[in-house]
Amino acid sequence: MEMGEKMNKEALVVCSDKSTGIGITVWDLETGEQLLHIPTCAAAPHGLFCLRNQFIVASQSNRHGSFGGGSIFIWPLNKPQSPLRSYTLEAMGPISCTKGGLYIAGGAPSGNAYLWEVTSGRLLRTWHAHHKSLKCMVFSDDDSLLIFGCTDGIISVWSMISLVDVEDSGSSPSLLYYSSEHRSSITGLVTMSAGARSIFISSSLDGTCKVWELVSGRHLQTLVYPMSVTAIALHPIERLLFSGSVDGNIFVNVFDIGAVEDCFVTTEDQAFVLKVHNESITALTFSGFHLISASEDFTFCLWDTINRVVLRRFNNRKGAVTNMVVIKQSSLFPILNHQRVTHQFQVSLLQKYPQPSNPGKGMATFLSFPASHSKPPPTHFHGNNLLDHLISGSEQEEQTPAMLQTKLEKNIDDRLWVTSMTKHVMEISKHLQCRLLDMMQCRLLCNPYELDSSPKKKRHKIQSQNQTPTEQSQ
Amino acid sequence: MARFDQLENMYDVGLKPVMLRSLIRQYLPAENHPLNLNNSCFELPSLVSILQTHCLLSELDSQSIDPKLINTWKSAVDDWLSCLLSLLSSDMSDKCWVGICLLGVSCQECSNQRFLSSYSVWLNKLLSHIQPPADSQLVKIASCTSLADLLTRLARFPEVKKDGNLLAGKLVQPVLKLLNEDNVEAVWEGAANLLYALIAFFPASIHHYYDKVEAAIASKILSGKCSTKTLKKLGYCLALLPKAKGDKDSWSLMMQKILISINDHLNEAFQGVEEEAKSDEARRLLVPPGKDLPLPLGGASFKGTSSERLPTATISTLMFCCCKMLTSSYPVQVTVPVRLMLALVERLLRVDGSLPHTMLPFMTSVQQELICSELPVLHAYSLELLIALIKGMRRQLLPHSAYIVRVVTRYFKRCSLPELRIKLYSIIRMLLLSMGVGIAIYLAPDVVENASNDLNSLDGEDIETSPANTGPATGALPQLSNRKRKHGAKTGSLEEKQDAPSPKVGESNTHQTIPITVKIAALDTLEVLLTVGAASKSESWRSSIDGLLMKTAINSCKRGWGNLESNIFLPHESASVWADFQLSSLRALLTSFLAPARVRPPYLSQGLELFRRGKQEAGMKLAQFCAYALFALEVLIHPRALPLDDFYSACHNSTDGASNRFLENIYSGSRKQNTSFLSAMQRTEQGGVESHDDDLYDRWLQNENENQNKSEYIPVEDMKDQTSRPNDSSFTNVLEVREKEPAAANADVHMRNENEIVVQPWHLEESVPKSQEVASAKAVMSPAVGTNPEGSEIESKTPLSASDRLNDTNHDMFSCVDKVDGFDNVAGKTSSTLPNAKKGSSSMVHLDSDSSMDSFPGIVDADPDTDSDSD
Repeated sequence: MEMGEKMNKEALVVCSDKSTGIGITVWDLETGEQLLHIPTCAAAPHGLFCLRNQFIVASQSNRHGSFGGGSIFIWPLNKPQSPLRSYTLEAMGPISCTKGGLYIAGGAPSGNAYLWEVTSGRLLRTWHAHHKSLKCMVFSDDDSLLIFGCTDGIISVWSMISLVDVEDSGSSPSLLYYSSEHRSSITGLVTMSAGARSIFISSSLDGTCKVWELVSGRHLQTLVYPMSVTAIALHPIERLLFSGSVDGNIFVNVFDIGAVEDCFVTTEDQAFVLKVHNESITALTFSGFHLISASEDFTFCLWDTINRVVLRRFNNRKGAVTNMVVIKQSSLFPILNHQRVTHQFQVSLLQKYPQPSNPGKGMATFLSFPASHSKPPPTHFHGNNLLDHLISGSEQEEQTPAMLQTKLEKNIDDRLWVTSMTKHVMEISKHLQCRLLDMMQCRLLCNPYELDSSPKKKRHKIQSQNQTPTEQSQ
Repeated sequence: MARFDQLENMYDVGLKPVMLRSLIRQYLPAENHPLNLNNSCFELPSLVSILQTHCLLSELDSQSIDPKLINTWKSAVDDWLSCLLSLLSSDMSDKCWVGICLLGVSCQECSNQRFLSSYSVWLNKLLSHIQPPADSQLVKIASCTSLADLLTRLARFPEVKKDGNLLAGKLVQPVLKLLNEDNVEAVWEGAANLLYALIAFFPASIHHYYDKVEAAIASKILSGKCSTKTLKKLGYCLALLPKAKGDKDSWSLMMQKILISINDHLNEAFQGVEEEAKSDEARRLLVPPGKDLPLPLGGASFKGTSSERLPTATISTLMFCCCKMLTSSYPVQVTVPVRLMLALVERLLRVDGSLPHTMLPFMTSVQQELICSELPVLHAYSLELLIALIKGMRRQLLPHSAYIVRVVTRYFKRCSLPELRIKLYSIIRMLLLSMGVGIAIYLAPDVVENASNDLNSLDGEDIETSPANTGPATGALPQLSNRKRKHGAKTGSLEEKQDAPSPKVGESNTHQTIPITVKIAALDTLEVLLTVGAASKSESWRSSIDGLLMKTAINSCKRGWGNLESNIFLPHESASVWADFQLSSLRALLTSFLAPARVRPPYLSQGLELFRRGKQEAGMKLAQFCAYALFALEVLIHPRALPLDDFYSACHNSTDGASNRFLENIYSGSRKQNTSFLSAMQRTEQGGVESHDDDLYDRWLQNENENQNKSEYIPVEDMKDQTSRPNDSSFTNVLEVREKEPAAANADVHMRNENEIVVQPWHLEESVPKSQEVASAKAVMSPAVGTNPEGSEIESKTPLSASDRLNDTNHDMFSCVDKVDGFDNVAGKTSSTLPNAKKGSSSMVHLDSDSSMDSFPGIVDADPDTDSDSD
């Protein structure tokens, strides 16, 4: 029971970009204790994320090798002693991964972007996306688009499908559109999962947040703030937008894209202000319904957004927190507790250089969903026709009562078929018996004066054929 | 025997042993009596159904049952089973057959205890009937089936897994013998059933015989001499076979062998209709240079196919096998040769029966005819393979999705056979759903074009308006159309297709009527496109699609409502196809209403009418959907902005004066303006919902009915869009100014911060009113706004003179100007709360209202004018 509770609890992973000595710390948000400390990590802002709830991935800002390259470290959460150290051509700033954890994108200060496939580690694509340094990047909710924000305020949206196209025939441009409406560096990008209408929000040092339609790039709304906005986060129910500013205030806006589609500016007169930090906000995130804010003042706070009070204030003495990720505490437990761990995708070292794709080489994957696999077959017997069920169905998880019903009927039909076949055979033999009797009668009563019709002749023949074996057997 | 006292009702447990005994008496022939097959064959199904519905063999061990009754029941079941076993050991094959069938049923029905105690006896008994002395085909088939049932039941008891594997191991060789030596197809089928059960539930038992099993199945498939159904069953077994080993390599090896075999067969089949280079290329991909060719499928090469027949059955079975390998689960991670399979699909879809120029002299018309007649089946299977790839790989297919899009769109242009089009539509739906909006961008133009063509052909509807007419017209198709019944449908339809006259694939469908099933697929696809990609660049096609869907829905419903209940005299599918069409068209219509758009759905009133009618008049399923549609549209008609409970309730609870004031502001605003956000607030507080909503609805209805009214609204929006840019830049200019004068302001900020670190935000607001006058005073004088406030006031009065709320808007504008100004002159931090406080005292309308927004163009227009004036 205690274990089960622990499984659902969340933990906060924080790291700084100042010095590798600070490393990564995992905090228990409820008790405030440190759960885990991983030394030697300093990630650039937006350079830390949790991959598939199992790995912490961080781009290393300070670690320039002898050739000026960068590196991305991947720590398995349940075995943090042995990270995968991947070395990249350039130092990586922001990095991000798709929701399914299949691809990792990274951006360099040069404006180059990199895209890896996690399972094989293949570098699928590198390209010059921007002229200035990339600040942040995020995948759309269905993982089909990639959004970049740049220090010069330009936002660009790329189609994943043509970015990762193995053939790269150049038939479709990868860049969907770009926008330079922001006047200063982009500081945050957030996507919304609002059904068919994909929307994302960008925040910028120019003191505005802008709301965009994801695919068309239409600018829907601008929120103006008195200060440069340094971080944004959406409330889980997506109606509240939290924007952290350079002076430590966090503005809370009601976010209503439905009604105010045509408003080009909503001012901050609706905004509440959460105020406890006295230096620039560096990151905002949510754990359940609790906001967590981190600031340059070396602290980070857990907020009750309903009562707008700070529930807990953490002090990261060694340096300001620049990256925060909320993870499940259960992922910290050693492997023993995970039975489904065998069905996870592997994670490979990310390659430094793109390699020519080998068309004959396949793609490693798991067939069928892991969930259906770990489930033992139900021991309760349903009384369906197993035979038909097995041959046609094969997917165990599809067993609905309705299907069982139809299978039952099918079963009876099948047996009926066999039955009717047999019956048919029996009828033939019965028919033959009848004829035999008929003919015997015929022969007995036979007199030459009767008219000989042709069927009777046939009958005679049949009779004689039939009779010979019978007589022989007798 | 049971006591003959009164039974309570049909649920009385006492009834069960009695019934069982009378069943034994009635149906099971005694040992020395001949079986009256005439009776029992008819009655066997009813016997089984009685057994199953009343659970006569279940021996429910419940506390409430009288122990005496339990014993009676137990002895009745004992009798039943001993009767069956005696039948089983009978010399007469018909008796034996009945006994085997009923034993199979007993395996399913009996209690766990009984099953566990006697399964090995039963298994051995049944086993003896598939081994050499047995000669009756019927008995062999029945034994295979019953054994499969037994194994399946056995697999549900993990505690006897080891024993089960041992016993199952004994079955493998007899089954192989049946496959190899028997020459009746029905027996092969039965053997395939049993083999499936073995592989699926006791893979360990197969392990030692892996190669033999592979060879036995492969020889049957490669000979291609069975019916499609049997071939498919065997193909499925082959697909599952790697599970017996369960490692990565055996899966890959099997896949490679199958692909090579398909390739070899295709090379042979496509001689003359495709360039030589193609087949070489495929071969090169399959076997990477430097690697050994694996042994051919089944160990040795089979060259049994006659030259005058195409090996279609073999190729299609092997492709089916690939599909199953992709879609069934596998214990470890495997490497799927995606590129190879896509190349295979593309190769097949490319061949359309036309002859390349170089080949013309070598082909006879007979050969071409032969190819053309078989091609639809091959195309259907290559589409199946594509579907299986998408299902199996899901998101991982992303690097190949551009390629798939190219293949699919290219094929869409040429594909004109209904069942292939239906498959193609379903592939597109799968792609849209699994890859999201990113792929919608690429697929939308083709989907819209093709679906419009399919739906626009009017002639089809006139012919097929009534359910009775749909039968003959679409007889061959409906099975394929239904995604849900894919498994069951495959066999039948393909057989039909093989018999179908050879189509001229290249020919366009100019004079063809589009079957209703294709239209259903097109509608479903449009629905998915709207759901996934309506937000994508849909301006070009959206309005035409909305119109088309409305038209289709009206047409589909104008001659009454279809009935989904099946007519016993018609094949099930054709009876309900019309109702399916109506349902699809209504669903697509609802989606077109709900999908995000920038204008009100133009056909909403007609659609509502349709849904209302359907709800009252149509049959069960349609009415249910219509009710749901009205339910879903409710939100569109009466936009519902629910209160943010946690956010606002906190404000209500707060005793702080400043925040209360803030709320008052909102209410004062909401009374005057109908923004939905504010109306929600009002709803919670005052319950003044009805009048509010009615007002909204009336306004909306005006909107809907009077086009003039609507056209008044739109230009306003457009104007705003146009003006947004200059306005924006003026604001950012202002903000840049702010950034340039940081020193003083920032110092101020820091001072304040140090004093108020732990103070809650609303404490700050108390200090606001004091600074308010300063701020507003500065606002008037400040040059930073870039415009003279008075000037802009004058200018804006003219465009807005029509407005009744002149004063309000002007106030509004002022508050806005004040605010922007305030950022520069007062500490930026307080300024955000400043307007709130200010409004609190003056109860002004705040900015978030329609009329105030209308005033914005006024301000902007004023800018250049005032500038030029001052110049």
